Amino acid sequence: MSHEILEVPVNSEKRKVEICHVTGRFFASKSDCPYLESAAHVCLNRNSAEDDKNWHYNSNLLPILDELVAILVEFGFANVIRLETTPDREIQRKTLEISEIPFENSKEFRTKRLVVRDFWKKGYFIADGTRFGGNYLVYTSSPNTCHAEFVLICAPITDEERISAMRCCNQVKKTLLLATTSSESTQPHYTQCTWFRPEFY
Amino acid sequence: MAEWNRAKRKRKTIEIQYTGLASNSTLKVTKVTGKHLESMGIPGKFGYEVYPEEAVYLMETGSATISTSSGRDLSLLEAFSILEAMSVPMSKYEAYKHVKRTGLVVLRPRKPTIDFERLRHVEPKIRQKFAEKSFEMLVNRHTVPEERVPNPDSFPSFENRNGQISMKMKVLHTSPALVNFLPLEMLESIQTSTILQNLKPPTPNRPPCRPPSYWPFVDHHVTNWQEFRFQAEQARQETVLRRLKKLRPPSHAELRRERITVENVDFHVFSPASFSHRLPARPLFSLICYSATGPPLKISELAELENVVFAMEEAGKVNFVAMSGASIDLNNYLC
Repeated sequence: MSHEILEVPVNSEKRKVEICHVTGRFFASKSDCPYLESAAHVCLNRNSAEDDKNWHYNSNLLPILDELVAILVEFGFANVIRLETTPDREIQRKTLEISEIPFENSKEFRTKRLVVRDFWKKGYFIADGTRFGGNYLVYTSSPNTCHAEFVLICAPITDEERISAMRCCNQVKKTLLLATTSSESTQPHYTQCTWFRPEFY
Repeated sequence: MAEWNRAKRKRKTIEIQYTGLASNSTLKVTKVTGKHLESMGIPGKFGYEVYPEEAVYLMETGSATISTSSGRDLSLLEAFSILEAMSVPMSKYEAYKHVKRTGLVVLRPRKPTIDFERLRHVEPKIRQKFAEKSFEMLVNRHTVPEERVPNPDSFPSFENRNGQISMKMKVLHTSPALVNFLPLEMLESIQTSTILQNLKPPTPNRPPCRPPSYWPFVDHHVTNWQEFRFQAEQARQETVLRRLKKLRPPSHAELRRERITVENVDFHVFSPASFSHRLPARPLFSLICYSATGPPLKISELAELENVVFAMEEAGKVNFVAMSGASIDLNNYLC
């Protein structure tokens, strides 16, 4: 991990996006979405037609995944701020250091962070894949223009869960990937799961 | 032009005040405009009060502004911190926003307005009497009265002398006339014919028998008067309690059984067609919101819920799952 960080050139001229941490979530502004998509190839949320037609909905805060926040802060694309209440009941902003960001301190999160970081460096787009039975959806280009290529599972799962996820991915024309990491290296190992039918062999 | 638009927008928005106090679970509405509050919030004597998720939703749709006690308007990010300060999770707010945008009326479950205590026919005098009697019994719980001791020497006592157990018991009759029996010579010389002629016939109206001084216990074997008095007092208290059982105020379990709405849900969803705050309404369904990556629910809990929809939220998107609740009839699928 420390060796790969040194390979990244430090560029202070990059524009930094403000990401806010409220109620245990990370939010980014909607106006920063085109910049993040073009410069950092991170897509916040897929725009739906319902939101465009509804003129009442003018929210400018979109949720972003914790692992993507870690990537943006690490490579200098974003700063994390947090609102604090002063004793006279006024709200002020405070910029957090990378060690002060309240990420989940667990082995599973570190594994997910490594896998998402590896995919991000390869140029893929990452989205949440809970509804497809996995951890992430991996897109080759912007999620607004194409469907996902892979459904990614990072945590170790049982055979029953893998069968369920495999059947779901087979129906939605996506490839199921199992990502495993070891303590020796920081490079994840990817295994593809395909639906095998012996009568067609 | 922009200033005029801002003034026009300011005139048409609902104004909500946020005091920052942790004791209040609602926000106060200082200016009411439009029809949004007809299906939101709590109408009270001093105006409307809204819950934090309703206030943030109104602000996010541009229908309201939230200001602090110093008069400054909050931004949307600071409004989200209100949710955090008032312990509203983000999954609950996302589910509320999603269902609200479909046009349904989404409200938190309110306290029942029917006083179930008043429905039960218990007179206040009898209730007070029951309270006094209960208080007396609680105070005199361990006090055994020194009454009704007919004969303290009626029970035998046991003595242990050098391993040998002996029983001492006094005689039941202390009259000296009964101790010395009559000799046989006097019994033979009694004139029975004269005595039998003087006997009176039995009368139909017999005098009432004297009631016994104490009633023996059938279930308990009492060996001394101390234990007898304790058992007698307990039996008397049980008799009084059994007599006053019908006047007892209803317990908490009975009240819960009479509840109309489902408990332990996050929201009740009503139809917007005929909803009014002042009319009682039955919800279309109830809503339970939680995060998809959080701890899962138990299957035993799902089996007890009826007419409940689960909203599982994942990173800004909400998935809705409806449960049957009651056990389904599998015979309906056979034909």
